[in-house]
Amino acid sequence: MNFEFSSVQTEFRTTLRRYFAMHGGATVRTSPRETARRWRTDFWKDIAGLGALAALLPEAFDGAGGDSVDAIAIMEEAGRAQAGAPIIENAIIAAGLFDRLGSLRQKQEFLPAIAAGTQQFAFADANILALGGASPAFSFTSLGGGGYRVAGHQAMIVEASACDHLIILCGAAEPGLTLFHIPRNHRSVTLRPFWTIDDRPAASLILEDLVLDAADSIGEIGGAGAAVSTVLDLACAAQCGEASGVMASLLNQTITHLKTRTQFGQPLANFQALRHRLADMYAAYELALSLTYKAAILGREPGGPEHQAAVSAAKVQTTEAARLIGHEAIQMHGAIGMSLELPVGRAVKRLQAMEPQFGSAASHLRRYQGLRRWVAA
Amino acid sequence: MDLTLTEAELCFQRQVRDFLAAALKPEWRGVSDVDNRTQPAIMAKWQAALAAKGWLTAGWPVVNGGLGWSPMQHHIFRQACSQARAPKISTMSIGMIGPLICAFGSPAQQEFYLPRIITGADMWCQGFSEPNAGSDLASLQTSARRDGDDYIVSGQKIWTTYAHVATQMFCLVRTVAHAERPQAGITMLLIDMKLPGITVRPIRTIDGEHHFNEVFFDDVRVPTSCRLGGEHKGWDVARALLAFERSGIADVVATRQLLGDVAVIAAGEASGDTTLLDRKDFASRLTKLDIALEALEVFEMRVMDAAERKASKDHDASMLKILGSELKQEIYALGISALGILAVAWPDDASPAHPSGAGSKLVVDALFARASSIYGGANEIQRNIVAKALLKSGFEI
Repeated sequence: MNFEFSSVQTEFRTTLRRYFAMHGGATVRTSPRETARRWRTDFWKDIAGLGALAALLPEAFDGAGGDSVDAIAIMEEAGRAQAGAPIIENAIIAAGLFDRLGSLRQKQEFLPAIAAGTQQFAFADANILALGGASPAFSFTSLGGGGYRVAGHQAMIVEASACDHLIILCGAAEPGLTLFHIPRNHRSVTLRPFWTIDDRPAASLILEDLVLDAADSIGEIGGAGAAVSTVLDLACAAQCGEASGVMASLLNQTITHLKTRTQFGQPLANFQALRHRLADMYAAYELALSLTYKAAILGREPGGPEHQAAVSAAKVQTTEAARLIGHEAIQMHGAIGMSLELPVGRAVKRLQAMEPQFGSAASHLRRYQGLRRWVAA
Repeated sequence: MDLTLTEAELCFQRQVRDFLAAALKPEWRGVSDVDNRTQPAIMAKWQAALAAKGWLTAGWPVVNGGLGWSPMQHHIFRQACSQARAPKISTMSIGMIGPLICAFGSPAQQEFYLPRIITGADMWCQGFSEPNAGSDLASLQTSARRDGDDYIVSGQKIWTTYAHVATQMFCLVRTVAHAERPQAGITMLLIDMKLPGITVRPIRTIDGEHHFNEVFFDDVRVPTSCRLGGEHKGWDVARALLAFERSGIADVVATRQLLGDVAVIAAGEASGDTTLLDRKDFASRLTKLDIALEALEVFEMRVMDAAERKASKDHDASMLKILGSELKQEIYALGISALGILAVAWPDDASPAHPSGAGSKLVVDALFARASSIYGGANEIQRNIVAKALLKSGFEI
């Protein structure tokens, strides 16, 4: 049993920590939306150059073959610095789907491009688990002769306004879940762009009269279900890792504030009411981190019920911790915690934006419950 | 990072399980803390079986009969014992005073006391708390004044678990009335409970049981040879307890068993076609606690792993104590609500049984579980320790 990152992972983390700290929202005070743009342009090229994207891709296609624990190591650092780069959407979801389902041609075309940071993806939509078995927002019908008509509308797709390609999960009673990919600027794609609360580009996506053929699908028609579920679980765990990094940053900011802010002639850190709440924030952090590590470790053999339960447990515990730590960090900062200028508020918004992504805590709680056998039959 | 045990650890785990299967008699299984106090004979027999195997004192220094187990081996051992529902062994005898005597005792003291702990000839209680010294332990007032080769001890201890069955007490006494720092005037004495002038009175707790006692010292003559460590150095001796092995402090295996008991109760609570366990609100409360417990289980593993690498944090034990005690209390509270109206009945032979067959004891156990966030350093003190460490050294990942 071992919960330590390897020396290679630790070294890589240190490199990333240094880079992220230069441009991350925890330190940088320039316009968050301008910073967001750069996380998808020049900063994106930089982190591709550092190997942060290739790290998680298969070795056969310019990757380093890293696993779910490597993903946590990278995402904890991204969270800690509040580096708003779409690593999960690209290196975990898009790469994971192409790797599992894609044709050789698609792998050759897209995986090295993801590793090099030259192509970016958005996935519609990542909240399939939250639907509780209902059909995805997009559906398709066969036109015969290998053609498919895809239609649907989804109000909220993170990264959809900034990516090069969209990956669309489509439902149909028969033959089942199918993935298609299309260029974002395809003429049948209508996007209504907006920003998220945590300053990420997003859009509503409307597909009408979109006609695709089998070559546009990722994997077999009707064959996407298991891979999508697995990849979204890996993404969910990675985002829990990112949340842990954000929470660690909030704890550090709160500790610094308690030690430096003086009221009634003494530092806030002297007040026991605040000290005890700090201890509770830390306890919440450690519990959530523990389950995230477990989900990461089990993610090396993903997709089975044990991995699913571990991911759901991590999401439930992380959501609870994120609320407590986020809200307490603002409260303990006092009025300054409300300031748009301060990294505290940005971190809290990042955590809040994560809540419904990759399945809400409530839907993960239901899934975990379904995977448990409480009383022996 | 990985969750698997090494080949050697798995082999050790098999050894422990084989031993438990052979040596732990069926009638000893499930003996609770309360039973340990009301009928300590079973605990004594279990300790004798462990002593015969050489495992009772595994955590002691090797020169004193310890086995030099790694933190992970201790963890595996305790976990296997809990899973087999073995009786708890005496924390105060084996976990506290034994190692203290190994660390601070004179050769004569080691020769006299240690074998008696191992054979069970002595059972120890801890004389720390006083009516006016609870969390503020250093303000204790029980005095010991020198008279030739004796200390004359007078004063009162309270909440003394096991005092009514113990033969010896390790006791903090004040040897300097007005020390510059209250901690500086404290001495630890090893007091034979049969000495004249000692009176033990029971305190009944809200669960109706006899866990605690008041202990009065009325000019009790304690030989100076019974002092552990230097005169006025008792605080340092007591502090050393904090450094001892903390595996098991969160009691997660027992809490996992308790959660299972609560599920059994809920499954037996039928209303029409469905049971309480099928009800969404109840099931989601149970699931949340299950997840929190799983988190604590992994956190405990992380603490053990850090200990294995000698990377423990000072406040790890405090964290385990806070999280373990409070989670267990929450699960008890859910158990009480699962029992419904039957939880109102005082459990005895005349009171109605729950259809699941489980549960009547849960009501009183839940009441006593309120003590777990008070004893061993109240959770308020533990939170102070955690906060102090965070504020001092910051926070690293």
